[in-house]
Amino acid sequence: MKKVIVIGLDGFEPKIAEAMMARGELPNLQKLREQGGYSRLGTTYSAQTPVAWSTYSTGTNPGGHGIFDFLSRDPKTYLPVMALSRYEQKNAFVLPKVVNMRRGTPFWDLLSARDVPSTILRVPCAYPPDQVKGRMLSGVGVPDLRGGFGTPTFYSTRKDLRADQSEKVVAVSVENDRVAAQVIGPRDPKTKSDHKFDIHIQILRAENKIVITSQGQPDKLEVQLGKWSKWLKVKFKVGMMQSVAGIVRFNLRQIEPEFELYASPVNFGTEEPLFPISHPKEYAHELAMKIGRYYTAGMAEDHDGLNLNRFDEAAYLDQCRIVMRERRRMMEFELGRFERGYFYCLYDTPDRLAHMFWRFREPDHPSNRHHGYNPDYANAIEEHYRECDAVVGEAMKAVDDETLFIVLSDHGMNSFQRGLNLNTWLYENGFLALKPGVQPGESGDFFENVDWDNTKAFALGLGCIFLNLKGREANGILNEEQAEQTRQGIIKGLTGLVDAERGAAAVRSVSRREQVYSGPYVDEAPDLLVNFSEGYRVSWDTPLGGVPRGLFADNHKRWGGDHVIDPALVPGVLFMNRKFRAESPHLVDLAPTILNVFGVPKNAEMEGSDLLS
Amino acid sequence: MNLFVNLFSLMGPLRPPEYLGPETLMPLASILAAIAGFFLLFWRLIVKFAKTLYRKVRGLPDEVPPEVEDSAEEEQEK
Repeated sequence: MKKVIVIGLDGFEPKIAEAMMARGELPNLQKLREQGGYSRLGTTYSAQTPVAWSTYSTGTNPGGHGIFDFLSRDPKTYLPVMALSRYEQKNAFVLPKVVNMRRGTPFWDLLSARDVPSTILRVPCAYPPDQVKGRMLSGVGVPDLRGGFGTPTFYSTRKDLRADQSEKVVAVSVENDRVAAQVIGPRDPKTKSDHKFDIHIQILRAENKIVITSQGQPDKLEVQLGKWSKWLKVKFKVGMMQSVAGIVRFNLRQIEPEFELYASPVNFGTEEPLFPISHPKEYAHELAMKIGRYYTAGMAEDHDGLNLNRFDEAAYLDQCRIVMRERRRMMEFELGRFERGYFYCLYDTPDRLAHMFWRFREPDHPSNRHHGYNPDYANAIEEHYRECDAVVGEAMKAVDDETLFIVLSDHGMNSFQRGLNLNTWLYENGFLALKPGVQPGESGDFFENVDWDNTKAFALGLGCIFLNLKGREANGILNEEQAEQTRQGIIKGLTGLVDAERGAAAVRSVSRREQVYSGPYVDEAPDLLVNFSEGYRVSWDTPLGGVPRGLFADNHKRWGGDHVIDPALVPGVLFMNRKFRAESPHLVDLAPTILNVFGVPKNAEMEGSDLLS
Repeated sequence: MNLFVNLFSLMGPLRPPEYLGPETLMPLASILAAIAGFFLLFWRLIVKFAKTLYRKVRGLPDEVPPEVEDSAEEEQEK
C-alpha cells in the first residue's frame, strides 16, 4: 500500500454510532465496516482529547509522552499551569518561543526519516508543529491571540453585565445609530494593558444588520442579526513598526431594545502568526489562499459563548457548521493533491457539539431546568453524525486499492449531570486542610486559603489528585510511608462513593499512576486518577483548585455531556477498510499499524501492535 | 572590491594590503554589522514593501484569501 488516509472524529460516541448504523443512517461508515471492520477503540487515562491523540501519535501511554490533562500543576506554587505547551525566552536578546510539552516520538517523524511524506491537518498537541516531511497544521493546543483557549468579547449597552470566566465585556453606547468600539487583542506584558483595534459600527435597523467599518480587511463588514459574520482581519500595533494580525468573527445578538454584539476569540492570522501554527510555516497561509480564511485556534467552536449565555444553541450550531465546512474544504483540497504517504484530518466538532447538546437527550438533565429544554435539539448529535458520515463518504473518494483508510475517534461521550467537589471530599476526609476559621465555600480558585502545611492531597484538573509530597511540592509534608497511607485512604474512601441524593455510586474506582502509566514522564503524572461513573464528573469548581460547599452539585451548565469518566465507559470508534484484529484494539495500536503499511518498524517505546497482522 | 578599497582609504594612512589590524578592521566590521542589523530588523518589511510595490506596478490584486460563502443557512438550503 502506498497511502494511509485517517479521518479523526473527535469524541464520536460508539453507542450512538452503532444504533444509527443499525438503522442504516450512516451509510458510508456502514460500508467501511463491511469492507474491513469496525470495533470500539480503547482510550487513555484520562479520556481527553490531548491525552488520547498524543497516544495515537506516539504509540505510547501518557507516561511516554507526558500529556496527562489540559492542566498540570507547578509543584513550587501549587498553581495550575497549561500542560500542552509553554513559552520560554532564554534571554532578552532572543525572541520568545513556544515549546510543545508532548514528548515521545510521533510516528510521522519515523515516516519522515524514511522519506514517506505526510499531510497532517489539525492534529492536537503539535504546537509548535513538528518538522515533518510534508505539511502539518496544528490543532488543539493553539491558543487565541490573548494566549487562552477562548477569550471572546461581548459588546452591550446593558450596564449590569459582568464578565464571566475569561471573556471580556465591553459597555458601549449607541449614538445616532452608531457605536464606537474596539476589538480587544493581546495583552502587553509590560503595561498589563490590552492592545486594541478600533471598529465603527453603523446600525441599519430597517435591514436588521450592522456594518462594521475599520482599517481591517475587509474595510466594511456586514453582520446580519443572529448570524455569524465573515472573517475580519485586524491588526494590533504592539510596538514600533511591529504589529500582530488576527482574525475575528462577529455574531449580532440584538439591535433593540439593547445593542448586543458577540466577537469570537481573535484567532491567529495565517499571514504571519505570532507563533508558528504550521509546517512549513508558510503553509497555513498557502492553505488560506486556496480555501479562504479558517479558524486557527485549537478550540474553534466558541462553547464558552454558549455556556455564558452570550448566544444561543442556534448560533452555536450555525458556528459548528461553519467550522465543519472549513475543515471539509481543507480536507478536500489536500486530498485532491495527495498521492502517497500519510494523510490525517481531524474533525473536532463531533466532540464540541456533543458537549453542548447532550443535555437535550435527557429531558431530566439538571441543565434543562436552568436553560430550558428544546425537544428540537434532541437529535442534534445524530444529525451531526450524518454530516460526519458525509465527510467520510467524501474522503472515501480518494481511497483506492493501495490505500488503508481509517476512521477513528479518540474517546466517546457520556452524560454529565452531577459533579463531585473532589477537594471538598478531601477536606471532609482529612486529606486537605483550610486555614484556621475558613470553611468550604470560603475558599476560591487556585487553592485560596488552603493550609499547605497540613494538607496531604489536593485535586486539580479533571479528576487528578496530587499528593503533597515532601521534597517534591513546595510545602510537602508526606514522606514515602505517609504517602502510601494517604493513597490507600483516598482509594478506599472514594471507590464506590455514593451520591446520597441520587443513591448512585459516583466513583467506580481510583487508579494509581503506576497502574496505568509507564515510561519516562510518569513522575509528572497525577498520583491518583478518579474514574467516575456514567453521569458524573469532577465538578466545575474543582479543576482550578476550588473547595466549594457540599460534596455533590448538579451540573447547571449547558456543557451537559462529558467523557472524563472511567475510560472503560467511553471508548472511541475504529473503522478500517481492511480486516483487522477486532479484539481489544487500543489507540496505542494505530502508530505501529500505520508504520507497518510503509514497512517502517515501530520504535522501542511504542507499546501497541499492528492491527492488520 | 572597489567598495572595500574606498572604505579603507577613509581609515587612515595605512591602507590594505599594507596593514590589517584590529584598529582598521573594527570600523569596517561596525559598518557591516550596521548594514546586517538593518536588514535583520527590517527584512520582512522590505520584502513586504517590495512585494506590494511589485503587485501595484503589475496591477495584480492583493494577496488576500478568497471570500467563501459560509452562511450556514445557505448550506442548509443546499
